[in-house]
Amino acid sequence: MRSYGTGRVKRGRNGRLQWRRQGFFPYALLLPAVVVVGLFIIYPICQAVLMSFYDISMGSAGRPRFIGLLNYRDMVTSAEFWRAIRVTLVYVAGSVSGAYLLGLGTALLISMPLFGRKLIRLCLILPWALPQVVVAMIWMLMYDYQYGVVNYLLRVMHVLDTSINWLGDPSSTIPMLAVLVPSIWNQYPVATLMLLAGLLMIPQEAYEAAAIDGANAVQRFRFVTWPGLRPVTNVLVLLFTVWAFKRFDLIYLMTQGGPLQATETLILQTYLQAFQFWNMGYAAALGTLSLVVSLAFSTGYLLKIRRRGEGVLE
Amino acid sequence: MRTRRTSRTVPRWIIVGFVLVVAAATGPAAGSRLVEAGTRTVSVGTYQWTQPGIKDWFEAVAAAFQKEYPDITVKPEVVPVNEYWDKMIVQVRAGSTPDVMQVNGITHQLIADGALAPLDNWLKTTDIPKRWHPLQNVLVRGGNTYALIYSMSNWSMLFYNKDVLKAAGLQPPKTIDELYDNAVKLTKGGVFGFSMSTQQNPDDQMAVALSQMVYLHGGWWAKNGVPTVNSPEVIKGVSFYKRLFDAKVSPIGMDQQQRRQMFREGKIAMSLDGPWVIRQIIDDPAWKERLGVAVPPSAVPEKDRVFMAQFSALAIPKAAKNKEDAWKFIEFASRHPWQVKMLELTLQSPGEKGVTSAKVESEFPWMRTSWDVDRYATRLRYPEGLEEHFPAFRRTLAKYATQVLLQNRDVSQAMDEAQKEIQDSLVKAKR
Repeated sequence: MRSYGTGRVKRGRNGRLQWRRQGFFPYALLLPAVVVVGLFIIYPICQAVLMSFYDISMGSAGRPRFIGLLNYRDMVTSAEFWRAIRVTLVYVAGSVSGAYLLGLGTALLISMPLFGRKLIRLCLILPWALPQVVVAMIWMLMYDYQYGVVNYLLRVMHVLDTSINWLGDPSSTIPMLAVLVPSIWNQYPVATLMLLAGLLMIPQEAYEAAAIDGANAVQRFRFVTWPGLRPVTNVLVLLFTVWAFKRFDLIYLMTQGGPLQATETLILQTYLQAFQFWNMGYAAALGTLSLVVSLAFSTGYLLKIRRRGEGVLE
Repeated sequence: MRTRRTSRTVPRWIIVGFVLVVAAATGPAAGSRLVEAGTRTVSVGTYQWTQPGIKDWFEAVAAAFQKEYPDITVKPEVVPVNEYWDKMIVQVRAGSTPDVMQVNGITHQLIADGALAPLDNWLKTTDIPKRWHPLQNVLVRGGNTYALIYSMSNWSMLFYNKDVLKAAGLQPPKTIDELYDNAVKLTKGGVFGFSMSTQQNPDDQMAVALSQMVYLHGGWWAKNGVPTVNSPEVIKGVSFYKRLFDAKVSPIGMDQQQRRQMFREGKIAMSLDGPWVIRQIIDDPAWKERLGVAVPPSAVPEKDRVFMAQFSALAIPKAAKNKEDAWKFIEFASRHPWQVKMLELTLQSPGEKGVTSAKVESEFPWMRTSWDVDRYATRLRYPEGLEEHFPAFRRTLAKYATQVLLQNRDVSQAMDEAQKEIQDSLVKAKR
C-alpha cells in the first residue's frame, strides 16, 4: 500500500529519492487549493488588514495616506462603535439561543411518532429554503404598521390597542425583536435537522434503562437526551454564532441598521462606513476587528470543547 | 487499446476545433477590423443607457454623433445602477475609467478626490455656460466646472388627487399653513393627506423629505462650506415636518415607492415629488382627469424661493484615455436639438435652461407646472460646499430628525446637537 505521509516510513535502498517523491507529491496535489485559498482568501484578508492602517477616501485619485493606528483609535473612541458591539452581542445571543431552542423543540416534537410526520418535517424545514431577501420581504409586509398581519392579529387579540411600528419604533428593543424573529425563523430548521439526527443517534436502550430506574420525562431529557445531543449542540452553537455575527442581508433589508442605530451590528457598520461614507480605511479596521473577534471566539470555543472531551467533529 | 485511443483523441480534436473557432471569431481578426477602419472609441460609463426613455435618447445621440464623426465609435459601458458606483470607483482607482462617466450623487466626492478633469478649457469655446440652467453651478468647484448636466429635474412638484380634494371641498394649498390644513382635513376614511418619509431608514429618503420642507421655509443645510443646520429657517422647516408627523397625515413606515403606489391607488391625497411621477401614473386613463399638479407653497417671498432639484451629468475622468473625443461627445449631446429631445423622450428637463416643448405640453399638460417649478429648482439636497460629506451629513440629520419625530425632542436642541456633531465630523475629516 502506498503511503502519502511525510515519506519517512518508506525509505528503501534509494530511500532519499523515494522520500522526495512521496514527500512532495501530496504537497503538489495540495498546491492548487493552496494557491486558490491564498489568492482569494489570504491575500484579500492581508489587503484589508493593510488598508486599516491607511486613510483611504473614495476615488483615491489622491493617494491613500498611511496613518498607522489612527483608524483603530477612532474606532475604540467612537460611541457608535461600542453601540454596534452591544447591538451585535444582543443580536447574536438572541439569534443563537432562539434558533437553537426552537430547533430543539421542533426536533423533539417530530421525533415522536406523529401522524403526518413527514409532511410536518417538510413544512418545518421550509423557512430555511427561503433566501434571506424573501424572508425580509415577507416579514416587512407582516410587520407593516397600517396593513400588516402582525399588528392586526395583536389588535384582534386585544394585546395591543394601537399598531406598533415594528421596524421604526424609537425604542431599541422593538426593532431588535423585529429583526430577531425572522432571523430565528429562517435559521431554526438547521437546528431542527441536526438535532433530529442527534436524537436518532441516542440509543433507545438508554431511555429504557432510565425508565427502569424510574426517571420521569424531565429526568430522561436531562440525563439521556441532553448529554446525547451535546456534540451536535456544540457544532450548532459554533455555526449559529458565526452566522449570526456576520449576518448582513436580512438586517440591512429590513432596517438598514436603524432606527437610531438600534439594529446596526458591527457588520452593518462596516458596510455603511465602506460603501455609504466611503471611509474604506476605517471600514477595514472594523472588518479586521470582526475577523479577530470571530476567530478568537471560534478558537476559544473549540479549545474549550476539546478540553471537555466533547469533540465537535470527533 | 484501439478503442481507448480513439475515445481519447476525439475530444482532443473537438477541443482544438473549438479553440480555433473561438479564436477566429474573437481574436486578432476581430481586433484588426477595428484598426483597419481607423476607428477611435469613446466609452461611456452609465447606468441609464438601458433605462426607458433615457435609453432612446442615448441611442439617438450616439447614432447622430457617429454620423457626424464617422471615425469615432461610441461604446456604452452599461452597469446596473446598484453596481454602478462600486464599479466606477474600482475603475477610478485602477486608472481604467471610461472616457465619459455619468455622474450624479457622488460627483462631489470624485471632484474632491481629484478624479475628474475640469471642463473649462472646452466650455469656454462654446455658448453652453450661457445656455445652461443655474443648477449647473452646483458642479463648479474652485472656479472649475467638472461635469455638464444633461438631465435635471425639480423634486418638489405638488401632486394631488383632484377627486379627493374636490370631495373634501378643498383647493390646492397656496400657503404653507394651507398645506398643513389640507393634509389634516384630507386624512380620513383610510386616505392619508400627505406623503412624507416617517422613518430614519432609508436615510436618503428622510433627507429628501427634510430638504423639501427646509427649502420651502428658506433654509439651507450649509452655506459656502459652513453647516447651518441650526439656523432659524432650518428649525422652522424641521418643526413643520414634525407638525405633519404628529398629525399622522402620512402612512407610517412606508418607503417612497410604497407611498407612490398608495398615491396611485388614491390612498394618499397630496405628495411632493418629481415629474417622473407623471409618466408612472398616467398609464391609468382615470388619472388623466384626476391628477392635479401645482407649484408648492413656500414660506418665503418669490425672489428667495428655492426648490430641491436633482441632476444627471456627464464628466470626463482624469484617467480617461481619450479626453478630446469624450468632450466632443458631451458637446454634441449638449446641442439644443438634443436637449429638446431629452425633454420629449424622458419628460425630464435637460441641462439647458428654459427648454419647453409644445408637443410634450399637449400630451402631458402637467409639464407646464414642472417647468415653472424648475425655474426655482437650483439646489440639491446636499449641503452647499460640503457636498462630498453628504453621506455622513445625511446620517446625522436623519438621526436627529428621528429623535425629533419619534422621541419628541425639542427641535432647536436637536438641531444644535446635529450642528455640533457635523462640525466635529468635518474637523475629523479634514484631519
